Parts: sequence; C-alpha cells; structure tokens
Amino acid sequence: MDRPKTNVGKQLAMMSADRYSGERRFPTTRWSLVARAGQNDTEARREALEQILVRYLPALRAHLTCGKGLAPDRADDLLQEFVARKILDKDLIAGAEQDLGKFRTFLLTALNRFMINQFRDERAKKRAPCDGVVLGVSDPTWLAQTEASPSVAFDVAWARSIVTEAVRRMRAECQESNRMDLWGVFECRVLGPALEGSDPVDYEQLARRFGFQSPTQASNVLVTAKRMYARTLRLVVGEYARSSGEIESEIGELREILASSR
Amino acid sequence: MIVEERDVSSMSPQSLARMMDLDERIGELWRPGELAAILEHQLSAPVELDFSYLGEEASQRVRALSSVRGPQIRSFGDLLHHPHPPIELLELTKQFAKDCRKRPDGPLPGEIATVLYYASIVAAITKCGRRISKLDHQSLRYALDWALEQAWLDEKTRELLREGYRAVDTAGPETDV
Repeated sequence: MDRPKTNVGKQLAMMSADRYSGERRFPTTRWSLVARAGQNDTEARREALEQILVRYLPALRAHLTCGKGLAPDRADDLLQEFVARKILDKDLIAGAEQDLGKFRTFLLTALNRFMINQFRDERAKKRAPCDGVVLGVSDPTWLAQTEASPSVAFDVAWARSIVTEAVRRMRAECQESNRMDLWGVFECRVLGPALEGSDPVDYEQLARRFGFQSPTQASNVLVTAKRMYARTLRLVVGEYARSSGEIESEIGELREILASSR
Repeated sequence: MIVEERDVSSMSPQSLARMMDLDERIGELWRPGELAAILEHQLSAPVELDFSYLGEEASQRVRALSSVRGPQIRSFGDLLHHPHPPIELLELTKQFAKDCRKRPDGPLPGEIATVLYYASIVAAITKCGRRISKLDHQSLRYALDWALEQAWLDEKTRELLREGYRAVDTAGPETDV
C-alpha cells in the first residue's frame, strides 16, 4: 500500500480542527414526540401523531401479520380501527404520559388489548365458535398468548423504523452542513456493507475519492461519522424515551433482540 | 449535492443490530490487511517528523540522538530494532504512542499505537536493560499476549515482543530487568 508519509505528530496536534461539532447538538429534550402528540395544540398534536404513526405503524403491522398470523388485509383493517378508535378518538398517546413503562411496550400492549376486544366482540356478534375464524387465526391458544407475548417481528420492524429514520436524518444533516465526506465514508464503511454484505471500501480509496491527506484521516472521519450517527440514533429514540438512561436501555434491548433473532 | 436515499428495509436483523451498536470500538474500524500496511508505514516513517509536534528544541534533540553509535536511526523501525537504541528516543516513542492512544480520533489507529507503545517498552528492556514503564510484569505479559495474537503484526516486531516476553518471564516477580 503506497501510503503518503504524513506528519503524524502535526496531524495529532491539528486533529481538533477537523472534528465535527456534533456533540454540542445532543438533544436536551426527551419524550418530545410523544409529549407533543398528547398536548392540546391541535396542529402540533396532529403533526406529532402523524410522525409516530408513519414511523411505527409498520412495526404494529408486522406484529399482526408475522407475529400473530393475521392476513395482511385483516391486519390493515384492524390497524385502521386501532388508529381511529384508540389513538385518535380515545387519545391513547396522551395516556402514555402516565404509563411508567416503555413507549414501545405501551403501544404494543394497547394494540394487543384492542385486538383481543375486537376478537371477542366479533365472535359474540357473529356467534362464531372459538376457532379464530373471525380474525383468520387458526391457533386456539392465540388469544391466551396475545397479552403476554411481545413478537420479535414487532421489535425487528420497530428497530428498522428507528435505523431508517436515523440514517435519513444523518444524510440530511450531512447535506445541510456540506459534510458529504462524512456521509460518504459512513456509507462506504458501515451502511453499504450492512446492506449489501460487501467488504468495506478500503481507506486508500476513500482518501482518493474524498481528497483526504491520508487513509488515517479517512478513518478519523469515520469515527466522527459514527459519532454523528450514534447521536442521531439517540435523538430518534429520545423522541419516545423519557431519559438518557431509558434511551440507552431501549437501544441495548433492541440490539439484543435483533442479534438473537434469525 | 443530492445523494441517493438508502433503503434499509432489506437489512437483516443482525445487520440492524450492528447499526444499533453505538460503541465506536466495536465494528472494527480497520481490517487486518489495512493494519499490517499501516504498521509497515509507521515503522518506516521518519522519527524526526513525528516528533516535530513536540517543538523545535525536541526536534534538535531527536536529530542528535538519532546519530548514535551503530546504524543510523531514520525510522521507528530502525529505532526499535537498533542494537543500542537511545533510551530517551524510546521514551519519546512511548509518549507519542500514548498520546495517539488517548485520542480516539488520533492520527494512528489504536491498535498500531498500542503496538508501538509496548514495542518501545520492550526495546528498552531487552536492548538497554531499562524499564521505561511502571507496568508490573503481569500487566505487561497480558499486553504482550494481546499484541502477539494480532495476525497483522510483522515478523520482526513479533520477534521483538517475544524477546520482551521472555525477558519479563525470566526476570522473576517485579525485579528490574
């Protein structure tokens, strides 16, 4: 590898100048999205609710289809009713303020209870036998399990929503701050390999592509980019977590679930 | 500049788990092949150039020390494998490596700085019979164990570290070597 003979000592002294000032932008407010979704200001509430629904409905849908075995059409119908009757009419998110548990669990529990009630109502109305015909569920033990079991499909889809949002925001921030080198290095070393299973792009190539003085400088940029991504990920989770401790435990819990799922 | 949006919907749960791993040290900044090349580069880098951040006076001192008896010391490799390396230059190397290690965004990958750090300590022990570190034997053995496990280490540095290991092993408990 033909490496430029850079003055490492001088580079060490100058390093601070190239550091991205991401740390200063660490969010100071938590629970912001959930709080806005529960407040009285109609416009702010509507916007916050929309964000929550757009971001996390795929996870709720995955829970119904993959976790509970509902047909996609039936899952969509149920979700639509859940949103209309519980989230909008009954102001479910405002109730999350009083709940001591995690928002992710809160939402899943609410959906499970809604589903059970729907199941019972429909069964009573149609006088259907307890065979799961109404909701398209064939396993009779399903009802008993529903309340207790969080589904991996739900957690995986939830994590996917968070990562999607963090990646989207990081890219936007890199564009706005004119630091596409950060995005480029992150994409070539972290995101691309995670998406495509490919080898990370060599630092030599990155140095040439983005005009860095040396491959080592490219690796320093990657450290900065990873910090920026970590901050953004925490920011996204922080919109529904109450404290920095809860943010860390939520990320850790999701990571463990993902790592152990197949 | 507009960049293409990346769709993470196809990402596997394991890849998502890695994307939720916020520890910078995990996720391997450098691959073994790259570390081998960087170590080779660092060992061939002029010592004078890397110590210039210490100021002009120190640079002059480094120049003077580099012309000791025996082969001339031009690079870190020359210094570490010199039959009689100046102890002061080894101390400067150790300090330089330590400064690099302290900075997660420093100019050398942590692994390289760590090897340079222990190699300077070991060179002082084996070639000068002096200790330039307050590390006890057990900690030094532990560190050398780690270094010797690195597949990207070049053979010459590996042999130097092995010599250091043997010297520490035969020196007995906490005696000066």
